[in-house]
Amino acid sequence: MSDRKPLKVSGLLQSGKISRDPNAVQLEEFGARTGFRASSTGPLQIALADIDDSPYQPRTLYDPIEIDNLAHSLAAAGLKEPVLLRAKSDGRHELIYGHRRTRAGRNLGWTEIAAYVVTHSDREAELAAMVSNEARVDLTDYERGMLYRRSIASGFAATQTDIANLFGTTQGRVSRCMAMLKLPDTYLVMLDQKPDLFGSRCAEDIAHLLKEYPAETALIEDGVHRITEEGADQKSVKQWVQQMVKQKHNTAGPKEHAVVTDRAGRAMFTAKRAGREVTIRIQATEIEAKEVEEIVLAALRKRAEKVFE
Amino acid sequence: MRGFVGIKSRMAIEFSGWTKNSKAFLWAYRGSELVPHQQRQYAPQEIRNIRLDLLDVPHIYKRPRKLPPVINFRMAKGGTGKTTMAANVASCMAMMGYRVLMIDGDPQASLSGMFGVDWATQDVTHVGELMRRANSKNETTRIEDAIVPMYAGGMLDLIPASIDMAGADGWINQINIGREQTFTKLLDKELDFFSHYDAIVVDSAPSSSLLTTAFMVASPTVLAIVMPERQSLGALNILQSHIQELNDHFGTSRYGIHIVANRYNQSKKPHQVTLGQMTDTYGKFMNDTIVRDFVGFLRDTSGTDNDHRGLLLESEPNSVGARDVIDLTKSLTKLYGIKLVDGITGNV
Repeated sequence: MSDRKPLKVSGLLQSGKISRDPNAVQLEEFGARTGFRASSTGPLQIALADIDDSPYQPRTLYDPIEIDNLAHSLAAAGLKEPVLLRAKSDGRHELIYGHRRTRAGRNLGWTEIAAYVVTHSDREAELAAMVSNEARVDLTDYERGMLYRRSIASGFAATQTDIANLFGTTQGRVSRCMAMLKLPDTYLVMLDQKPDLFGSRCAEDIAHLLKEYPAETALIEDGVHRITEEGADQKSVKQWVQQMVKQKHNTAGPKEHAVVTDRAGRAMFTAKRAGREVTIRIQATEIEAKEVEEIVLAALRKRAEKVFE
Repeated sequence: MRGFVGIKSRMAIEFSGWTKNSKAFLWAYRGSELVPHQQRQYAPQEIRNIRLDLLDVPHIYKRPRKLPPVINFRMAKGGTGKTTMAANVASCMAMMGYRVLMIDGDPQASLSGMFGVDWATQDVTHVGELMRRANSKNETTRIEDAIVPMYAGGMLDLIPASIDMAGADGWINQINIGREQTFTKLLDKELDFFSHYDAIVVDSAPSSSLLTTAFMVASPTVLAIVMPERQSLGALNILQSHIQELNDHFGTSRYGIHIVANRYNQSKKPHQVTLGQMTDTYGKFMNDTIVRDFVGFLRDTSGTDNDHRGLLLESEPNSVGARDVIDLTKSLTKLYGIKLVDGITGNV
């Protein structure tokens, strides 16, 4: 008989290979006469003015165009899926998920929205907001990294594998997103302002560049600025920086001029150096080129002699 | 009859529920040796006798006159592996010593095809025809016409299908009262015959016809074979409304579902996600065993040589797929209350 262990639903759940949505409503009776209802109480209409954002929401960036698109679809089809709220002690409500739908609803001028209201402790609400929003919206890698770090800080997970299981992703991804947070402060400031500036792959490139060219921090920063200023692809950062560094080493800095004058201040000779080439120009007309050549060659021979000393 | 002789000793020990050491088993039960002193093989009939011995029940034991459990493989979507699972589970049950009757309820006759019965070249009496005879006033059913034996000793029999069966909806539609009970009427009328089996396995078509409804009525718990993919979740909703109609019609809530995840591929992220969603909503109805996507299941339908077009337990008994089938079958016998000897639990 095969030695490979059979797969069980319970086993996959336990190992975290498949993850459950903690807010999902289990079907109690299949094909029951009451019909398919998500909740026994049903959604309520809650005034939008009484709804606050979740402090645990990992998303910091709301694309106005995206919210607008969502508003269009809400206007056309209505709200298909109620948002989830928890009641607070002061009579207001706090979102668990549905941040974008709430915003779209406000934009449409709605005064209330269909919502399920649950009673959650802070901790439950934090976990629910983390897990459901991680899965639902396209968070940027930076936001994910922050979220993963917070899940450790709040004690929901101890290791990267725990985090991966909690959010139904892979350990590799968790590791990459969290590595973003280790970038120097200058980059973190940029990401705080614009979380979608670059992703975890690009962050990996930046970390790699910083390690390889510790003297070129300014150049690397320029490379990142190109993403916003020139609309460059974030994948090009690494190549661009590498190319710039290479160019810098090929041409050894700016060209240098030297002028030799007589006592009256008249230019007799000019010397120009570019790379390993030195050009001498004889400005004074009374001096023969042949004479200068002999002087220079004599000096060069003397220098060459020195090698054998 | 198929060319299948029997299972090997290791599997025979597992299926018979032998708890002492394997040498004692080999000493007590010889099986049959194709080549002297070589691998022994145990026919389904022999496993049955061993199990009856262990229960201290004589081999000639006769079931009481009542209908055995009916397992209806049904899903509102094609290609999820209904037929493959029905055939494999039925053959596995037979190898575990149960007498099993398979009914091909799909006009496409794919179950019949898997067992090498071809309606184009053979004379086939399909279940639709039997239902028609049972529901008419002046005809006898002559159910023996329909039976095609697969394993010796009546361990695995098949009522094959043919393309004509698609026409069954026509005459069922003309019945005024009890359209839904046409299949149960056949079962009741031929109770003497059906009560001889320990289990009846029905392979239904994906469509929602009067014929599939008739099968559903006979089996309160529909067995849905579901692939962990988005479309399957949609099909489950269709099935749900179908079951809801049945419950409404009969004013009960006895009709329900049992879900088996099939063709699961662990390395495909969407499969993991969808399986997670399935357990979210239908967790209560799902079988714990997941049948993995295994190439051997494909092999047994793509072959052209009928004698070697084996079921997984016949052709690749040591494979991953066979293991999944065995685990699934064991859980289904418990769930549907399939018993070797009535009054004593099947999986002793």
